[in-house]
Amino acid sequence: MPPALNAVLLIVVCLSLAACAPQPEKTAAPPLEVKSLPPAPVSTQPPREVDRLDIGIVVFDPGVPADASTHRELGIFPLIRKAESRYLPFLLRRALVDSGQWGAVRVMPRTYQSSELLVKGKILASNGEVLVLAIRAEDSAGRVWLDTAYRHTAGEEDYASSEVDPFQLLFTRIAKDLLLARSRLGATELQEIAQVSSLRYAAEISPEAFEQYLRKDETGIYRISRLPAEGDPQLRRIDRIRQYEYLFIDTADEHYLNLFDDIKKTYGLWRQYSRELLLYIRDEESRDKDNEFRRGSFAWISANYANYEWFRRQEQLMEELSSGFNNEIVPTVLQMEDSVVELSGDLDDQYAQWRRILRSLLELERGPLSP
Amino acid sequence: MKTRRLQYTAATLIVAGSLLLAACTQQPQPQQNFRQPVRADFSGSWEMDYSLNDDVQSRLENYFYRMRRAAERQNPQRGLDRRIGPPGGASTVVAMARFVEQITRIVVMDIEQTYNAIHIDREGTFSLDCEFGDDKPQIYENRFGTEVCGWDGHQLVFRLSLPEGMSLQHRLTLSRDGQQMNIATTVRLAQAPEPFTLNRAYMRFEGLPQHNCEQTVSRGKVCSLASDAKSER
Repeated sequence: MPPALNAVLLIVVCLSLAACAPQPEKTAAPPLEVKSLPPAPVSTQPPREVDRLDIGIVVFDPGVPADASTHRELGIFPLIRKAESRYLPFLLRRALVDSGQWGAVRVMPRTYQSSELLVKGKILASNGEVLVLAIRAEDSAGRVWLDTAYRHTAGEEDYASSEVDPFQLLFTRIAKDLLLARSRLGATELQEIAQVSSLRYAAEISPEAFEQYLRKDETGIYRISRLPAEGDPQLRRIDRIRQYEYLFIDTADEHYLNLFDDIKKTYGLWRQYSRELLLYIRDEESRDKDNEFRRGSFAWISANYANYEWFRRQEQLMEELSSGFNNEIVPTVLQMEDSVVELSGDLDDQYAQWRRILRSLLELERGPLSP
Repeated sequence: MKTRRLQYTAATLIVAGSLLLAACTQQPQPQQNFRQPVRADFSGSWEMDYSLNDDVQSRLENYFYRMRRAAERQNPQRGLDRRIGPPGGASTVVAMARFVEQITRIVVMDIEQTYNAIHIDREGTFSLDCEFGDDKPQIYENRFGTEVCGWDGHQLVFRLSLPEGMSLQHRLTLSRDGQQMNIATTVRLAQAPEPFTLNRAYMRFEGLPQHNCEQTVSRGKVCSLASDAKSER
């Protein structure tokens, strides 16, 4: 065979084998275990007015894979994740409010442009023992403050107090990292964030009037080209609409707060039981399960079966626990969701009307706009 | 000539590549050989019908008789004094019988079934669950064994493969009038010449219709009288 063909054959074989090899998953950096991180510097200074940015936390992405057949293996109970995705943002909200360093901190059903700093999260793991959250925080100018996965493994001591959440450390850490990110920005930049937020909101409602005030620089950050005149009537109108959006978000936030209070006890118990069960299973699994009896003897047959039976029973206990959680909590979650969806629908209708009115007003002031 | 050789080599390369790719795809699942499903409805409460159960002693005697007859047929000169399989084979068969008898002592079972799934709650042991929405056998695996379940004609089969060649099968059959159910439990061991099967019969009963129970996290299982629940609605 000619050497060229030999080479081709070699390539084909290599490519075929390469295709067989398990493909490495595309993963981001491994999550930071908050316990092992060096303590974050804490600001003892009272915040200046420019520091007090308004934060919007969007309800977390539950992180449930679409393929339902993987849930059992991954230990994911979708309805529990749904409840968690509305519960956990409140722990972050509390940590941020407790720091006393920010303006209003709100939990929102989806992204609203009115926030000066927007925090989004995704639950990567949550089983009572381990919580892994991917957190991304971005200001209204488009600057990314945080894009990190945090992990906390709760120990016995974390469950000792009924007042403090076992995963509080993780949320406190996120709050501190946000402060650290803020400390890297100067007063002018922080002030600009508030202005950009206002203009971006205005541009979304009335692009014809406000898109001209903003531009994106080469890094994709929004910059102010110029500011509208002081007392611009269109901007004043939009500011009033923005206040209405805040009112809506505050109402939704109140619903989430009620949910947080309603499910706190049951969710706490579920996490505690779930953790104990996981520890028990791991402890039993780590013991030598080798069957040392004579093959074919009654003791050997029974031991062989008992291992499987034991594992299945633990697994089913876990499923029973999660179904107990669902029975107790899901009606509350769904009721809350209905209220928020209703509110949200009302707001969307309202926006469509506002856009039409604002456009008509602008046409009256400036003459016909391009369609 | 040269062109033909090149064509031949190219074809060889394609075949070699395809074979390699085929070889590296997922490991084939064990052959299940299930017949076309004809779904029967097992849902309800079932209690053991002792009058129709197999007698373990008779099944054992039958097993040994069959083994002796088979041995005789193979070697008529050796008479009836035949060992069962390899050394220790007879005691293994007795152990199998004892084991099957023990794990099938389930007196009451509650079965919930939809068109796509079944949940068999067995008193004192793990429940049997199966999803059969796509008509294909469902495979569930953990580090201690592999469970396969699915319809085999009108029978529902659960096959459990355990380490070192041990396997267990439950085959559920519903009577024509739907009032009786038979569960044939079969254990197979590499050390035994033949599998051992024990039949358990069940009959329908009303269960506990007066209670509606619901699992909760904070209060455990909460039950209410069905009449209360109705009046609440």
